[in-house]
Amino acid sequence: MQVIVPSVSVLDCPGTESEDAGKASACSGCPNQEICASAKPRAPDPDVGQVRERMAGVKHKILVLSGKGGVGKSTFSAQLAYGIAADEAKQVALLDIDICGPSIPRIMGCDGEQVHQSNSGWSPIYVEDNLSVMSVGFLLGSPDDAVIWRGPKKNGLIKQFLRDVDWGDVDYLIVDTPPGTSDEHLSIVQYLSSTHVDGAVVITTPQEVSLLDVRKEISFCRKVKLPIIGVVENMSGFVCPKCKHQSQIFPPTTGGAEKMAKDMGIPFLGRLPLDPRIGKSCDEGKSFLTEHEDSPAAAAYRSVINEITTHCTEGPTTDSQC
Amino acid sequence: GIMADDILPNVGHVLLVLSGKGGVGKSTVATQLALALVEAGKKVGLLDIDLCGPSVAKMLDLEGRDIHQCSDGWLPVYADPSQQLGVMSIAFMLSHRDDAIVWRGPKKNAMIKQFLTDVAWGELEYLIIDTPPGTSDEHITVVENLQSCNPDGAILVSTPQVR
Repeated sequence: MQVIVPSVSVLDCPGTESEDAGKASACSGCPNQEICASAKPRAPDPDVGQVRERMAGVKHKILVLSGKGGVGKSTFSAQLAYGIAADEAKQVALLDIDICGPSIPRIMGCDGEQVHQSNSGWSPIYVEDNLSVMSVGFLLGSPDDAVIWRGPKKNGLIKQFLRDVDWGDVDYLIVDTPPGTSDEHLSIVQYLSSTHVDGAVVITTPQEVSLLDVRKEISFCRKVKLPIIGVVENMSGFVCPKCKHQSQIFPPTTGGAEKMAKDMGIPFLGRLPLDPRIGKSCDEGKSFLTEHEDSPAAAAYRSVINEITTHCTEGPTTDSQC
Repeated sequence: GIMADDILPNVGHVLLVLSGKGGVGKSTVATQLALALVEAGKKVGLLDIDLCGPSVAKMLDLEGRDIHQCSDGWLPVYADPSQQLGVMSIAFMLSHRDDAIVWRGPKKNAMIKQFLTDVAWGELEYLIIDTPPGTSDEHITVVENLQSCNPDGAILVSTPQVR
């Protein structure tokens, strides 16, 4: 006699330090349930207050997310940082919380740099006078070292990045995240919950296999009440530099990101084409926007970046269901 | 702890498909490899332990299927009538395809262990395990639990650029 295995509860872990730890309905089935439920009630986490203090000088915070890997989150985060920092009056910070696969040091041309500590905390790495960077990549002995950590240790480092790094006064803090909807994402949202976060920019590529994961990411944002600034469709169309013929390397068989955004009631921020020079600039640690500022891709980037900064300074430009 | 006999007792070869980086084509390679082995006449299992972004079910056009349970455990979802390719994924356990699995490490680890111990794969010549990007909970858990069944090894997928 065959019985259908019931659907999983998609409720989230309340967090091991939450008052509901071990007692929420999401806890049933978790191997740690007994440990969490029997723990003594904890005092409020003092780190949350310290994070709030550090973040007091940060005007705008943007998280760059995607359910899917390899869609260009780090590439986009870096160009967003370079793009905003082109205005020398703006102070920009880029925080890479991808602990297992930190790409930002390479893309920003500062891999091999070391983090220094002072009385005021950890010093981020300055790639321009007005553009600073922090990543676990700077804490590794060699670029091939693998960070093979379980969730709790990753969470601890993310908290340290927010609590101990001396960012100073910053106009924009951009946070690059790993793919998925797990520890890192829950942690960054939880630790920043006592501060104002402008919202999330969600990156996808046009094909359905990508959109499948990205819709889940949008569900995640709604679940944790993180406003969504909008969706960006990356690697959208390739123009051959020789014959100028345009092709879709990742065909949008189900309408691409624009349709998905419309179906889910969130703003569509624009399309970025697949230009091989973008990947090359990233591998070389140079700003694509500076190296190829007259390219169609750079123009597309500037348009998307403008949508994002307008949202941050003037509020949502279109209605969005969040 | 889990007894060695409980883990995949009738599986000939276990292959893990890994990559530090996301979006390089792990699920694509894992799926096409499974299909190629079936075409070569082998009995194959394909296990997707990417709980946040499970792509295998979509790639084999198996979305919306349910997991049936029998006295031996959970039956894999078969991609073909002759049951040469059995598939297991959290995708089959979601009420809606847009539902996000927002679990921390311990709960993910428990699910992966269940996939390894509770699925009645039957006799398989190959079990291919598709993984999420990274080097974290899922990877540690699956490697720890597979130690007793001597996996053949890992196929590392990459794309050409430096990152």
